Amino acid sequence: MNAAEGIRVEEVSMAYGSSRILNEISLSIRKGSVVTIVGPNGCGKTTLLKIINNLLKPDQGRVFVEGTDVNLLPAHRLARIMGYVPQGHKISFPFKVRDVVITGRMPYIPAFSSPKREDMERTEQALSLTGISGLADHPYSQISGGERQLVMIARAMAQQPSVLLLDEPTSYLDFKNQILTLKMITEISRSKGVTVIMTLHDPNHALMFSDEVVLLRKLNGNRVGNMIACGLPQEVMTPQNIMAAYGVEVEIVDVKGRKLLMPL
Amino acid sequence: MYTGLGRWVKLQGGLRQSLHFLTKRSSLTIFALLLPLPALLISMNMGTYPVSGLELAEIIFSRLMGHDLGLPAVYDTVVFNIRLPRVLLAMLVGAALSISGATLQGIFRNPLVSPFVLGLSSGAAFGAALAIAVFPWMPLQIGAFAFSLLAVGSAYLMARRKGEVPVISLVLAGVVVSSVFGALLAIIQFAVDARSLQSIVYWNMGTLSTASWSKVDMAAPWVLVGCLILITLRWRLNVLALGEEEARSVGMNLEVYKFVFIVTATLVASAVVAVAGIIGLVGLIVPHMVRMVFGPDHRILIPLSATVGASFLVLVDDVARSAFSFEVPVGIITTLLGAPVFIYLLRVTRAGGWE
Repeated sequence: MNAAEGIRVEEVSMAYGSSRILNEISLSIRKGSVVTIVGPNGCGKTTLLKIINNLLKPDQGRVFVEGTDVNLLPAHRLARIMGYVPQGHKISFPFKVRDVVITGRMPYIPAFSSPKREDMERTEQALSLTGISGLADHPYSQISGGERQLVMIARAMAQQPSVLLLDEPTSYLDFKNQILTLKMITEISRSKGVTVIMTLHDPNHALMFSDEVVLLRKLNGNRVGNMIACGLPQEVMTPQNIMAAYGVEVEIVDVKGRKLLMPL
Repeated sequence: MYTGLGRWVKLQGGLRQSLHFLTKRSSLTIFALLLPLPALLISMNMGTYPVSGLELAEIIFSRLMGHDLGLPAVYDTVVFNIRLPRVLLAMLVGAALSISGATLQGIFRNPLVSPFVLGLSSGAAFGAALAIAVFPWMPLQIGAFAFSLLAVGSAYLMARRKGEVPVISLVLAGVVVSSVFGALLAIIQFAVDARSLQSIVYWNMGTLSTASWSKVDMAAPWVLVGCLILITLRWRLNVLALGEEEARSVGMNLEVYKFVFIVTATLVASAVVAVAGIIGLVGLIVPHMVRMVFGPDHRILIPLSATVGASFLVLVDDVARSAFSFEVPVGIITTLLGAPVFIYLLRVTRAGGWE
C-alpha cells in the first residue's frame, strides 16, 4: 500500500435480500483527490458510500482508510477520519443551525460530557468555512434546502475529517446552488487537503468537478461486475461508457476547451 | 437627521438584542430552574387546614432547631406528615414524567411521544390490579413497577431485530403490548368483586391523595438517580434527535445510547407511576411548554423539564385538592389539560414530523 492512498475498497459485494446491488467493486482513492461516483438510479452509489463509512456492512470485501480496515476502527475513531453528508436531510425539532453543526464534535466529546470551548470554536470555524456564520442562530427548519446542505457539510467538517463523503449533494438544489455547492466542496478539498468522495446524478457535474470518476451500471443477471470504468473524467466519460451505464446516446462537445456531454 | 435616526435605531436594535439574550438565556432560565422553590412555598400554604405563612415558618424553625414554640401539635402533623410528603411526591412525579417524556421525544424525534406509549401505563395498571385483586400479599407498588418494566421490556424486545431497534417498530410494539395488558386488566376487572374493582378504577385515575413519606422514599432514589443520568447525557439527545444515520456517522454508538436512554426514562416514569397511578399527559405538556419558550436544545430542555414539571404538577395538585369541595384525582385534570395540547401539536407539527 502506498502512502498517498486515502481509501481502498477491496472486492466489495452487497445484496439486499436476493437482489445483488454491488459486485466485486475495487477502488483505490488518492489522498486529497475529489472522486465522484456516477451511474443510473439503483446502481448502488449510495450503498457504496455507506459501506465506505461503515454505515452498512458489505456481504463480502473490505474497506481500508489510511491502511486500516474501517470495520476494526472504533466508531468515534472512524468519525474523526470520515465525515458523512446524507441526502436531503430533515429534522423534526427546530434546532438552531449552530446546535446542528456542533453535533459533528461528537467523536471528540467523552461520555458524560458536553461540548467545551474548543468544540464551540471548531463549530464557528466550520460555519465560516461553508459561509453560513450568518445563519448560526436560525432554526434549521426555516432555512432553504441549499442552506441545509451547507449546514450538513459544516457539521461534517466540524468532525475535522480527512475524508468527506457526500450523498448526492446537489439533489433538491436549484441550478445556481448546485454549482455553488460543488465549487465549495472542491474548494474545501483543495484548501484542507480533504479527500472527497461524492455521488452525483449529472455526468456533466462529474466531468467538471472531479479528479477521478467511478462509473457504475445497474447489475442485472449474470454480469460479472457493475463498475464500468474508473479514472480520469475524460477517459471514463466516453460515449461508449455512458451508453453502457445509462443506455443514452451522447456526444462529446467542446465548449471553450471544456468537454461536455450532450445527449442526442 | 437620517444618520442620527439610523444610529438610534441601531442602538435600539443592539440594546434589544443584548437584552433579549439576557432575558432569554440567563434570567428566564434561572427563574425556570428555581421555580420549584416558590411552587413549594405556595403549595405548603394551600389546603383545608389553614396554616399561615408565619406559622409555617415557625413550625419549620421549631423542627429544625428542636425548639418548642408552643404551637398546637396538629400544626406539626399537618405540615410534616400530610402536606410535605404530598407536595414532595407531586414534585417527584411531575419531574419524573416530564424528564422521561422529553427524553423519549428526543429519541423518537417526535414531540407527541410520552412515557406511556411504550406500554408503561397499561403494564402498571395490570400489575396494580393483580396486586389489589389476585395476589394481596404483593405490595401494590411492586406489582405496578414490575409490570410496567415488563411491558416496556417486551415492547423493546419485540421491536428488536439484528441488534437494532427501529423507533417506528418500537412504538407499534408499544401499541400491541398496551392492548394485551388492557385485555388482561379487563379479565381481572371482570372477575373481581365490586370493592376491588373500585380500588382498581380509582388507582387508574392517578392521584396524589394517598401520598406518604414511605411513597416519597420509594420513588425518590429512582427519580433522583435517573434525572442525574439523563442530565449528564443530555447533549447526546441533540445528536440522536437529528436522525439515526446522522448520529452513527458522527461516531455515536447508537443502540447503546438508545438503550440507556429508554431504560432510564422507563425506570424514572415507572417508579412514580407505581406510587401515584396513571397521571396522564404531563410528559407531553411540560416538555412542550419548555420547548416553546427555550427551544429544542436538550442541554436546556432536559433540566428545565424536570424543574418545570415538578412545579407544574404540584400547582395542578393544589387545584385538585382545594378548588372544589371534594378532591379531584389529579390525573383527570392533567389529562383534560393535556388533550388540547396534544391536538394542537398533532396539527401544527404534522403528526410530530412523522407524516
